[in-house]
Amino acid sequence: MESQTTYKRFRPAPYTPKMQLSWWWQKPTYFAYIMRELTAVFVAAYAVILLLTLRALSAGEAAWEAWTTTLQSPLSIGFHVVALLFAVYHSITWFMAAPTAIVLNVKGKPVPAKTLILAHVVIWIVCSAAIAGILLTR
Amino acid sequence: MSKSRNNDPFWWSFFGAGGVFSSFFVPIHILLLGLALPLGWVLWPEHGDLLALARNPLARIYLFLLIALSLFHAAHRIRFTLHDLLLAKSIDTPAAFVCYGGAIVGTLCAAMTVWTL
Amino acid sequence: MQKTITIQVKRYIPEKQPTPFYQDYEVPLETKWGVLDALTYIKDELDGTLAFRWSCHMGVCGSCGMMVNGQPALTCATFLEEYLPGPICIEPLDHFPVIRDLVIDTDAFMGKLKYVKPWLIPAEERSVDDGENRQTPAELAAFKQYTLCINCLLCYSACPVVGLNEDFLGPAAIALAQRYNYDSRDAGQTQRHDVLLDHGGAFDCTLIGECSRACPKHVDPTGAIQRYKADGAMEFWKRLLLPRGAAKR
Repeated sequence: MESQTTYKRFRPAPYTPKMQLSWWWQKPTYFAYIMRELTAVFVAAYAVILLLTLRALSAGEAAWEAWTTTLQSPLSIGFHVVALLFAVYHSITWFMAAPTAIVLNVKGKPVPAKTLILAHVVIWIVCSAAIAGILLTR
Repeated sequence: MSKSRNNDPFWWSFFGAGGVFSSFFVPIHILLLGLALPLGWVLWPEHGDLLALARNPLARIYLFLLIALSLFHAAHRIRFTLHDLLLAKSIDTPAAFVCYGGAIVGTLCAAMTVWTL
Repeated sequence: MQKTITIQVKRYIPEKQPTPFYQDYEVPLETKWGVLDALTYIKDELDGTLAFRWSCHMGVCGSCGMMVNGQPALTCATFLEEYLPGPICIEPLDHFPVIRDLVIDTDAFMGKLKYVKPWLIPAEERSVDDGENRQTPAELAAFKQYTLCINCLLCYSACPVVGLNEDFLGPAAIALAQRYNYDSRDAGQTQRHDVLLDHGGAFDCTLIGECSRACPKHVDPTGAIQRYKADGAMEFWKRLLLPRGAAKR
Protein backbone atom coordinates (compact mmCIF):
# COMPACT_ATOMS: atom_id res chain seq x y z
CA MET A 1 0.00 0.00 0.00
CA GLU A 2 1.95 3.03 -1.26
CA SER A 3 1.06 6.40 0.10
CA GLN A 4 -0.63 8.59 -2.50
CA THR A 5 0.40 11.83 -0.90
CA THR A 6 3.09 14.02 -2.49
CA TYR A 7 3.71 15.79 0.79
CA LYS A 8 6.54 13.71 2.17
CA ARG A 9 8.28 15.51 5.00
CA PHE A 10 5.96 14.65 7.84
CA ARG A 11 3.85 12.03 6.09
CA PRO A 12 6.35 9.74 4.36
CA ALA A 13 5.38 6.34 2.99
CA PRO A 14 4.08 4.02 5.70
CA TYR A 15 5.80 0.73 6.26
CA THR A 16 3.57 -2.31 5.73
CA PRO A 17 4.83 -5.53 7.27
CA LYS A 18 4.22 -8.67 5.18
CA MET A 19 2.96 -11.94 6.57
CA GLN A 20 5.55 -14.71 6.55
CA LEU A 21 4.97 -18.19 5.09
CA SER A 22 5.76 -19.49 8.56
CA TRP A 23 2.95 -17.45 10.17
CA TRP A 24 1.05 -20.47 11.44
CA TRP A 25 4.10 -21.74 13.34
CA GLN A 26 4.26 -18.56 15.39
CA LYS A 27 1.30 -19.16 17.75
CA PRO A 28 -0.05 -22.46 19.09
CA THR A 29 -3.59 -21.33 18.23
CA TYR A 30 -2.61 -20.65 14.61
CA PHE A 31 -0.97 -24.08 14.40
CA ALA A 32 -4.07 -25.73 15.87
CA TYR A 33 -6.15 -23.87 13.29
CA ILE A 34 -4.09 -25.15 10.36
CA MET A 35 -4.19 -28.69 11.79
CA ARG A 36 -7.98 -28.36 12.02
CA GLU A 37 -8.14 -27.24 8.41
CA LEU A 38 -5.89 -30.11 7.33
CA THR A 39 -8.39 -32.60 8.76
CA ALA A 40 -10.30 -31.85 5.53
CA VAL A 41 -7.58 -33.66 3.55
CA PHE A 42 -8.29 -36.82 5.54
CA VAL A 43 -12.06 -36.39 5.41
CA ALA A 44 -11.83 -36.12 1.60
CA ALA A 45 -9.39 -39.04 1.38
CA TYR A 46 -11.67 -41.19 3.46
CA ALA A 47 -14.71 -40.28 1.37
CA VAL A 48 -12.77 -41.60 -1.65
CA ILE A 49 -11.79 -44.76 0.24
CA LEU A 50 -15.41 -45.33 1.21
CA LEU A 51 -16.38 -44.93 -2.44
CA LEU A 52 -13.73 -47.51 -3.44
CA THR A 53 -15.01 -49.83 -0.70
CA LEU A 54 -18.53 -49.62 -2.11
CA ARG A 55 -17.29 -50.28 -5.63
CA ALA A 56 -15.35 -53.33 -4.43
CA LEU A 57 -18.42 -54.53 -2.56
CA SER A 58 -20.63 -54.30 -5.64
CA ALA A 59 -18.00 -55.82 -7.97
CA GLY A 60 -18.43 -59.31 -6.51
CA GLU A 61 -16.88 -61.57 -3.92
CA ALA A 62 -13.44 -61.85 -5.55
CA ALA A 63 -13.02 -58.08 -5.79
CA TRP A 64 -14.19 -57.76 -2.20
CA GLU A 65 -11.60 -60.32 -1.01
CA ALA A 66 -8.86 -58.40 -2.83
CA TRP A 67 -10.03 -55.11 -1.31
CA THR A 68 -10.13 -56.45 2.26
CA THR A 69 -6.60 -57.79 1.77
CA THR A 70 -5.51 -54.32 0.62
CA LEU A 71 -7.07 -52.84 3.74
CA GLN A 72 -4.91 -55.18 5.85
CA SER A 73 -1.62 -53.90 4.40
CA PRO A 74 0.60 -51.94 6.81
CA LEU A 75 0.32 -48.89 4.55
CA SER A 76 -3.46 -48.96 4.82
CA ILE A 77 -3.39 -49.49 8.59
CA GLY A 78 -0.91 -46.64 9.01
CA PHE A 79 -3.05 -44.32 6.90
CA HIS A 80 -6.19 -45.20 8.83
CA VAL A 81 -4.51 -44.58 12.19
CA VAL A 82 -3.50 -41.06 11.11
CA ALA A 83 -6.85 -40.48 9.39
CA LEU A 84 -8.71 -41.52 12.55
CA LEU A 85 -6.71 -39.06 14.67
CA PHE A 86 -7.45 -36.23 12.25
CA ALA A 87 -11.11 -37.25 11.90
CA VAL A 88 -11.59 -37.26 15.68
CA TYR A 89 -9.86 -33.85 15.84
CA HIS A 90 -12.26 -32.64 13.16
CA SER A 91 -15.25 -33.90 15.15
CA ILE A 92 -14.09 -32.36 18.41
CA THR A 93 -13.23 -28.97 16.89
CA TRP A 94 -16.51 -28.98 14.98
CA PHE A 95 -18.51 -29.61 18.15
CA MET A 96 -16.55 -26.94 20.03
CA ALA A 97 -17.33 -24.42 17.29
CA ALA A 98 -21.01 -25.29 17.06
CA PRO A 99 -22.15 -23.01 19.95
CA THR A 100 -20.60 -19.98 18.19
CA ALA A 101 -23.20 -20.21 15.40
CA ILE A 102 -26.14 -21.77 17.22
CA VAL A 103 -28.20 -19.63 19.59
CA LEU A 104 -30.86 -21.82 21.18
CA ASN A 105 -33.37 -20.44 23.61
CA VAL A 106 -35.18 -22.77 25.95
CA LYS A 107 -37.88 -21.16 28.09
CA GLY A 108 -36.53 -17.74 27.18
CA LYS A 109 -33.02 -18.48 28.36
CA PRO A 110 -30.05 -19.17 26.07
CA VAL A 111 -28.69 -22.71 26.31
CA PRO A 112 -25.08 -22.54 27.63
CA ALA A 113 -22.28 -23.40 25.20
CA LYS A 114 -21.14 -26.34 27.34
CA THR A 115 -24.57 -27.95 27.14
CA LEU A 116 -24.59 -27.58 23.35
CA ILE A 117 -21.14 -29.15 23.05
CA LEU A 118 -22.15 -31.99 25.34
CA ALA A 119 -25.30 -32.58 23.29
CA HIS A 120 -23.15 -32.89 20.16
CA VAL A 121 -20.86 -35.40 21.85
CA VAL A 122 -23.84 -37.47 22.99
CA ILE A 123 -25.29 -37.48 19.45
CA TRP A 124 -21.83 -38.44 18.14
CA ILE A 125 -21.63 -41.43 20.48
CA VAL A 126 -25.18 -42.53 19.67
CA CYS A 127 -24.57 -42.25 15.90
CA SER A 128 -21.28 -44.15 16.15
CA ALA A 129 -22.86 -46.89 18.26
CA ALA A 130 -25.76 -47.18 15.81
CA ILE A 131 -23.43 -47.54 12.80
CA ALA A 132 -21.27 -50.07 14.65
CA GLY A 133 -24.36 -52.00 15.71
CA ILE A 134 -25.83 -52.12 12.22
CA LEU A 135 -22.54 -53.09 10.58
CA LEU A 136 -21.39 -55.71 13.06
CA THR A 137 -24.66 -57.54 13.71
CA ARG A 138 -24.86 -58.69 10.08
CA MET B 1 -15.81 -3.33 -3.92
CA SER B 2 -17.00 -6.38 -5.79
CA LYS B 3 -16.38 -7.56 -9.32
CA SER B 4 -18.78 -10.49 -9.43
CA ARG B 5 -21.38 -12.00 -7.16
CA ASN B 6 -19.86 -13.84 -4.26
CA ASN B 7 -20.85 -17.51 -4.34
CA ASP B 8 -19.10 -18.39 -1.09
CA PRO B 9 -22.40 -18.57 0.88
CA PHE B 10 -23.52 -21.30 -1.56
CA TRP B 11 -20.40 -23.40 -1.00
CA TRP B 12 -20.39 -22.59 2.70
CA SER B 13 -23.87 -24.14 3.08
CA PHE B 14 -22.55 -27.46 1.77
CA PHE B 15 -19.38 -27.05 3.82
CA GLY B 16 -21.53 -26.68 6.93
CA ALA B 17 -23.83 -29.58 6.15
CA GLY B 18 -20.81 -31.75 5.32
CA GLY B 19 -19.06 -30.69 8.51
CA VAL B 20 -22.00 -31.81 10.61
CA PHE B 21 -22.40 -35.10 8.75
CA SER B 22 -18.72 -35.99 8.63
CA SER B 23 -18.04 -35.04 12.25
CA PHE B 24 -20.77 -37.40 13.42
CA PHE B 25 -20.13 -40.33 11.08
CA VAL B 26 -16.60 -40.38 9.57
CA PRO B 27 -14.59 -41.46 12.67
CA ILE B 28 -16.65 -44.61 13.29
CA HIS B 29 -16.28 -45.69 9.65
CA ILE B 30 -12.52 -45.24 9.78
CA LEU B 31 -12.36 -47.11 13.08
CA LEU B 32 -14.48 -50.05 11.85
CA LEU B 33 -13.59 -50.45 8.18
CA GLY B 34 -10.03 -49.17 8.37
CA LEU B 35 -8.81 -50.62 11.68
CA ALA B 36 -11.15 -52.90 13.65
CA LEU B 37 -12.04 -55.24 10.78
CA PRO B 38 -8.64 -55.39 8.98
CA LEU B 39 -6.81 -55.95 12.29
CA GLY B 40 -9.24 -58.68 13.28
CA TRP B 41 -10.58 -56.98 16.42
CA VAL B 42 -14.02 -57.98 15.16
CA LEU B 43 -15.08 -60.53 12.53
CA TRP B 44 -15.77 -59.48 8.95
CA PRO B 45 -19.44 -59.77 8.02
CA GLU B 46 -20.21 -62.03 5.01
CA HIS B 47 -19.88 -60.31 1.64
CA GLY B 48 -23.52 -61.11 0.76
CA ASP B 49 -24.84 -59.73 4.04
CA LEU B 50 -22.84 -56.54 3.68
CA LEU B 51 -24.04 -56.05 0.10
CA ALA B 52 -27.65 -56.60 1.17
CA LEU B 53 -27.16 -54.03 3.93
CA ALA B 54 -25.67 -51.45 1.54
CA ARG B 55 -28.55 -52.02 -0.90
CA ASN B 56 -31.13 -50.97 1.67
CA PRO B 57 -32.65 -47.72 0.29
CA LEU B 58 -31.91 -45.85 3.51
CA ALA B 59 -28.32 -47.12 3.50
CA ARG B 60 -27.92 -45.96 -0.10
CA ILE B 61 -29.09 -42.45 0.77
CA TYR B 62 -26.89 -42.41 3.87
CA LEU B 63 -23.79 -43.55 1.97
CA PHE B 64 -24.38 -41.06 -0.83
CA LEU B 65 -24.82 -38.17 1.61
CA LEU B 66 -21.80 -39.21 3.65
CA ILE B 67 -19.50 -39.31 0.63
CA ALA B 68 -20.89 -36.28 -1.22
CA LEU B 69 -21.20 -33.94 1.75
CA SER B 70 -17.77 -34.95 3.11
CA LEU B 71 -16.27 -34.07 -0.26
CA PHE B 72 -17.96 -30.65 -0.40
CA HIS B 73 -16.99 -29.96 3.20
CA ALA B 74 -13.36 -30.84 2.48
CA ALA B 75 -13.29 -28.95 -0.84
CA HIS B 76 -14.28 -25.67 0.82
CA ARG B 77 -11.75 -26.07 3.63
CA ILE B 78 -8.90 -27.11 1.38
CA ARG B 79 -9.56 -24.16 -0.93
CA PHE B 80 -9.21 -21.67 1.94
CA THR B 81 -6.26 -23.53 3.48
CA LEU B 82 -4.32 -23.35 0.22
CA HIS B 83 -4.77 -19.59 0.28
CA ASP B 84 -3.76 -19.45 3.97
CA LEU B 85 -0.65 -21.57 3.50
CA LEU B 86 0.63 -20.11 0.24
CA LEU B 87 -0.27 -16.46 0.99
CA ALA B 88 -1.28 -16.07 -2.65
CA LYS B 89 -4.64 -14.59 -3.54
CA SER B 90 -4.07 -15.53 -7.17
CA ILE B 91 -4.33 -19.20 -6.24
CA ASP B 92 -7.91 -18.84 -5.03
CA THR B 93 -9.77 -19.06 -8.35
CA PRO B 94 -7.85 -22.07 -9.71
CA ALA B 95 -8.05 -23.71 -6.27
CA ALA B 96 -11.81 -23.20 -6.22
CA PHE B 97 -12.16 -24.85 -9.63
CA VAL B 98 -10.05 -27.84 -8.63
CA CYS B 99 -11.58 -28.30 -5.16
CA TYR B 100 -15.26 -27.82 -6.02
CA GLY B 101 -14.76 -29.55 -9.39
CA GLY B 102 -13.28 -32.53 -7.59
CA ALA B 103 -16.18 -32.61 -5.16
CA ILE B 104 -18.70 -32.51 -8.02
CA VAL B 105 -16.93 -35.36 -9.87
CA GLY B 106 -16.76 -37.35 -6.64
CA THR B 107 -20.46 -36.74 -6.00
CA LEU B 108 -21.37 -37.99 -9.49
CA CYS B 109 -19.21 -41.10 -8.92
CA ALA B 110 -20.90 -41.66 -5.57
CA ALA B 111 -24.36 -41.29 -7.10
CA MET B 112 -23.50 -43.82 -9.81
CA THR B 113 -21.94 -46.28 -7.39
CA VAL B 114 -24.78 -46.09 -4.91
CA TRP B 115 -27.39 -46.36 -7.71
CA THR B 116 -25.84 -49.43 -9.35
CA LEU B 117 -24.82 -51.13 -6.11
CA MET C 1 15.16 -7.72 43.70
CA GLN C 2 14.99 -6.54 40.07
CA LYS C 3 15.09 -2.71 39.80
CA THR C 4 14.65 -2.16 36.04
CA ILE C 5 13.21 -3.91 33.05
CA THR C 6 14.23 -3.76 29.39
CA ILE C 7 11.65 -2.48 26.91
CA GLN C 8 12.47 -3.41 23.33
CA VAL C 9 10.61 -1.08 20.97
CA LYS C 10 10.18 -1.62 17.24
CA ARG C 11 10.84 1.77 15.76
CA TYR C 12 10.16 3.16 12.32
CA ILE C 13 11.43 6.61 11.46
CA PRO C 14 10.77 6.96 7.72
CA GLU C 15 12.82 10.10 7.17
CA LYS C 16 15.89 8.46 8.71
CA GLN C 17 15.68 4.84 7.66
CA PRO C 18 13.30 3.04 5.25
CA THR C 19 13.06 -0.09 7.41
CA PRO C 20 12.08 -0.55 11.05
CA PHE C 21 14.65 -1.34 13.73
CA TYR C 22 14.58 -2.30 17.39
CA GLN C 23 15.74 -0.04 20.19
CA ASP C 24 16.18 -1.07 23.84
CA TYR C 25 15.28 1.14 26.78
CA GLU C 26 15.87 0.44 30.44
CA VAL C 27 12.96 1.62 32.58
CA PRO C 28 12.38 1.43 36.35
CA LEU C 29 10.35 -1.58 37.37
CA GLU C 30 7.65 0.20 39.35
CA THR C 31 4.91 -1.88 40.87
CA LYS C 32 1.56 -1.35 39.13
CA TRP C 33 3.16 0.25 36.10
CA GLY C 34 1.50 -0.73 32.86
CA VAL C 35 3.40 -1.06 29.60
CA LEU C 36 1.91 2.32 28.65
CA ASP C 37 3.47 3.87 31.75
CA ALA C 38 6.83 2.52 30.68
CA LEU C 39 6.40 4.04 27.21
CA THR C 40 5.40 7.37 28.77
CA TYR C 41 8.53 7.21 30.95
CA ILE C 42 10.65 6.59 27.87
CA LYS C 43 9.11 9.55 26.06
CA ASP C 44 9.38 11.88 29.08
CA GLU C 45 12.80 10.88 30.42
CA LEU C 46 14.79 8.92 27.84
CA ASP C 47 13.80 9.61 24.25
CA GLY C 48 11.27 12.27 23.25
CA THR C 49 11.25 11.08 19.63
CA LEU C 50 9.26 7.92 20.42
CA ALA C 51 5.78 8.08 18.87
CA PHE C 52 2.76 6.17 20.18
CA ARG C 53 -0.96 6.73 20.67
CA TRP C 54 -2.83 6.76 23.95
CA SER C 55 -5.62 8.68 25.56
CA CYS C 56 -7.74 7.46 28.46
CA HIS C 57 -5.31 5.16 30.29
CA MET C 58 -8.28 3.09 31.51
CA GLY C 59 -9.21 0.61 28.78
CA VAL C 60 -12.03 2.62 27.26
CA CYS C 61 -10.66 4.74 24.41
CA GLY C 62 -9.05 1.91 22.48
CA SER C 63 -6.06 3.91 21.20
CA CYS C 64 -3.12 2.23 22.97
CA GLY C 65 -3.33 -1.19 21.32
CA MET C 66 0.10 -2.64 20.44
CA MET C 67 1.78 -5.99 20.08
CA VAL C 68 3.25 -6.92 23.47
CA ASN C 69 5.58 -9.90 23.13
CA GLY C 70 3.77 -10.82 19.94
CA GLN C 71 0.24 -10.62 21.36
CA PRO C 72 -2.13 -7.76 20.62
CA ALA C 73 -2.94 -5.96 23.88
CA LEU C 74 -4.11 -2.67 25.33
CA THR C 75 -0.85 -1.41 26.81
CA CYS C 76 -2.67 0.48 29.57
CA ALA C 77 -4.17 -2.79 30.82
CA THR C 78 -0.97 -4.84 30.49
CA PHE C 79 1.39 -4.73 33.45
CA LEU C 80 5.18 -4.91 33.54
CA GLU C 81 5.04 -7.47 36.34
CA GLU C 82 3.34 -9.96 34.03
CA TYR C 83 6.55 -10.15 31.97
CA LEU C 84 9.29 -10.58 34.57
CA PRO C 85 12.21 -10.69 34.19
CA GLY C 86 11.77 -9.14 30.73
CA PRO C 87 12.63 -7.95 28.18
CA ILE C 88 9.24 -6.82 26.86
CA CYS C 89 8.99 -6.43 23.11
CA ILE C 90 6.62 -3.68 21.95
CA GLU C 91 5.62 -3.52 18.28
CA PRO C 92 2.90 -1.70 16.35
CA LEU C 93 -0.32 -3.68 15.77
CA ASP C 94 0.05 -6.37 13.12
CA HIS C 95 -1.61 -6.17 9.71
CA PHE C 96 -1.66 -2.36 9.56
CA PRO C 97 0.59 0.08 7.69
CA VAL C 98 2.91 1.79 10.18
CA ILE C 99 3.13 5.57 9.98
CA ARG C 100 5.84 6.01 12.59
CA ASP C 101 7.16 3.88 15.48
CA LEU C 102 4.06 2.45 17.18
CA VAL C 103 1.50 4.56 15.30
CA ILE C 104 -0.56 2.68 12.73
CA ASP C 105 -2.66 3.89 9.82
CA THR C 106 -6.33 3.11 10.52
CA ASP C 107 -7.76 4.68 7.33
CA ALA C 108 -8.53 1.34 5.66
CA PHE C 109 -10.41 0.18 8.76
CA MET C 110 -12.40 3.41 8.95
CA GLY C 111 -13.41 2.91 5.33
CA LYS C 112 -14.53 -0.68 5.98
CA LEU C 113 -16.53 0.42 9.00
CA LYS C 114 -18.65 2.68 6.80
CA TYR C 115 -19.49 -0.16 4.39
CA VAL C 116 -21.49 -2.06 7.03
CA LYS C 117 -23.67 0.98 7.88
CA PRO C 118 -23.13 0.90 11.65
CA TRP C 119 -26.06 3.12 12.51
CA LEU C 120 -29.80 2.67 13.06
CA ILE C 121 -31.76 2.36 9.83
CA PRO C 122 -35.39 2.60 10.99
CA ALA C 123 -38.21 1.04 8.96
CA GLU C 124 -39.86 4.45 8.71
CA GLU C 125 -38.77 7.95 9.62
CA ARG C 126 -39.83 8.99 13.11
CA SER C 127 -40.12 12.48 14.47
CA VAL C 128 -39.38 13.64 18.01
CA ASP C 129 -43.13 13.85 18.61
CA ASP C 130 -43.44 10.08 18.09
CA GLY C 131 -41.71 9.63 21.45
CA GLU C 132 -39.05 7.17 22.52
CA ASN C 133 -38.13 3.93 20.82
CA ARG C 134 -39.13 1.43 23.46
CA GLN C 135 -37.14 -1.72 24.01
CA THR C 136 -37.59 -4.60 26.44
CA PRO C 137 -34.62 -5.88 28.46
CA ALA C 138 -34.66 -9.02 26.29
CA GLU C 139 -34.49 -6.92 23.12
CA LEU C 140 -31.55 -4.99 24.59
CA ALA C 141 -29.81 -8.22 25.62
CA ALA C 142 -30.02 -9.46 22.01
CA PHE C 143 -27.31 -7.01 20.90
CA LYS C 144 -25.84 -5.34 24.00
CA GLN C 145 -22.64 -7.39 23.97
CA TYR C 146 -21.78 -6.06 20.49
CA THR C 147 -22.12 -2.43 21.62
CA LEU C 148 -19.11 -2.84 23.92
CA CYS C 149 -16.57 -2.64 21.07
CA ILE C 150 -14.10 0.22 21.49
CA ASN C 151 -12.54 -0.09 18.01
CA CYS C 152 -9.13 -0.81 19.52
CA LEU C 153 -8.31 -3.07 16.53
CA LEU C 154 -6.71 -5.83 18.63
CA CYS C 155 -9.00 -8.29 16.83
CA TYR C 156 -7.64 -7.14 13.44
CA SER C 157 -4.09 -7.81 14.60
CA ALA C 158 -5.04 -11.21 16.01
CA CYS C 159 -6.82 -12.33 12.85
CA PRO C 160 -4.63 -13.95 10.16
CA VAL C 161 -7.41 -13.52 7.59
CA VAL C 162 -7.06 -9.72 7.95
CA GLY C 163 -3.37 -10.08 7.16
CA LEU C 164 -3.91 -12.51 4.29
CA ASN C 165 -6.83 -10.76 2.63
CA GLU C 166 -6.89 -6.98 2.54
CA ASP C 167 -10.53 -6.93 1.32
CA PHE C 168 -11.81 -8.66 4.47
CA LEU C 169 -14.07 -6.32 6.45
CA GLY C 170 -12.66 -7.79 9.65
CA PRO C 171 -13.99 -8.89 13.04
CA ALA C 172 -14.98 -5.55 14.63
CA ALA C 173 -16.80 -4.22 11.54
CA ILE C 174 -18.89 -7.38 11.17
CA ALA C 175 -19.63 -7.51 14.91
CA LEU C 176 -20.77 -3.90 14.70
CA ALA C 177 -23.00 -4.73 11.72
CA GLN C 178 -24.55 -7.45 13.87
CA ARG C 179 -24.98 -4.97 16.71
CA TYR C 180 -27.46 -3.12 14.47
CA ASN C 181 -28.89 -6.22 12.78
CA TYR C 182 -30.00 -7.57 16.14
CA ASP C 183 -31.38 -4.22 17.34
CA SER C 184 -35.20 -4.29 17.41
CA ARG C 185 -35.30 -0.63 16.31
CA ASP C 186 -33.33 -1.36 13.14
CA ALA C 187 -34.60 -2.44 9.73
CA GLY C 188 -31.35 -2.21 7.79
CA GLN C 189 -30.55 -5.92 7.58
CA THR C 190 -31.18 -6.14 3.83
CA GLN C 191 -28.73 -3.33 3.11
CA ARG C 192 -26.12 -4.90 5.34
CA HIS C 193 -26.66 -8.31 3.73
CA ASP C 194 -25.55 -6.76 0.44
CA VAL C 195 -22.18 -5.99 2.02
CA LEU C 196 -21.76 -8.94 4.36
CA LEU C 197 -22.66 -11.55 1.72
CA ASP C 198 -20.26 -10.00 -0.79
CA HIS C 199 -16.55 -10.57 -1.39
CA GLY C 200 -14.66 -9.49 1.71
CA GLY C 201 -17.72 -10.10 3.87
CA ALA C 202 -18.41 -12.63 6.59
CA PHE C 203 -17.79 -15.66 4.38
CA ASP C 204 -14.09 -14.76 4.04
CA CYS C 205 -13.75 -15.65 7.74
CA THR C 206 -12.43 -19.16 8.37
CA LEU C 207 -13.26 -19.27 12.08
CA ILE C 208 -9.86 -19.11 13.72
CA GLY C 209 -11.33 -17.58 16.87
CA GLU C 210 -8.35 -15.36 17.69
CA CYS C 211 -10.43 -12.17 17.50
CA SER C 212 -12.54 -13.23 20.47
CA ARG C 213 -9.48 -14.30 22.45
CA ALA C 214 -7.84 -10.91 21.81
CA CYS C 215 -10.91 -8.78 22.54
CA PRO C 216 -10.44 -6.83 25.80
CA LYS C 217 -14.19 -6.13 26.01
CA HIS C 218 -15.48 -9.69 25.44
CA VAL C 219 -17.47 -8.62 22.40
CA ASP C 220 -16.94 -12.08 20.86
CA PRO C 221 -16.65 -11.11 17.17
CA THR C 222 -16.21 -14.83 16.36
CA GLY C 223 -19.74 -15.52 17.56
CA ALA C 224 -21.09 -12.46 15.74
CA ILE C 225 -19.55 -13.60 12.44
CA GLN C 226 -20.61 -17.23 12.89
CA ARG C 227 -24.18 -16.18 13.62
CA TYR C 228 -24.08 -13.96 10.56
CA LYS C 229 -22.93 -16.86 8.39
CA ALA C 230 -26.00 -18.84 9.45
CA ASP C 231 -28.35 -15.87 8.81
CA GLY C 232 -26.52 -14.82 5.66
CA ALA C 233 -26.60 -18.29 4.11
CA MET C 234 -30.39 -18.36 4.64
CA GLU C 235 -30.66 -14.95 2.97
CA PHE C 236 -28.45 -16.11 0.09
CA TRP C 237 -30.68 -19.12 -0.62
CA LYS C 238 -33.81 -16.97 -0.32
CA ARG C 239 -32.44 -14.52 -2.87
CA LEU C 240 -31.42 -17.40 -5.12
CA LEU C 241 -34.66 -19.37 -4.99
CA LEU C 242 -37.47 -16.91 -4.32
CA PRO C 243 -38.71 -14.59 -7.05
CA ARG C 244 -37.29 -11.07 -7.01
CA GLY C 245 -39.02 -8.81 -4.53
CA ALA C 246 -40.28 -11.63 -2.36
CA ALA C 247 -36.82 -12.13 -0.88
CA LYS C 248 -36.20 -8.43 -0.39
CA ARG C 249 -39.67 -7.98 1.09
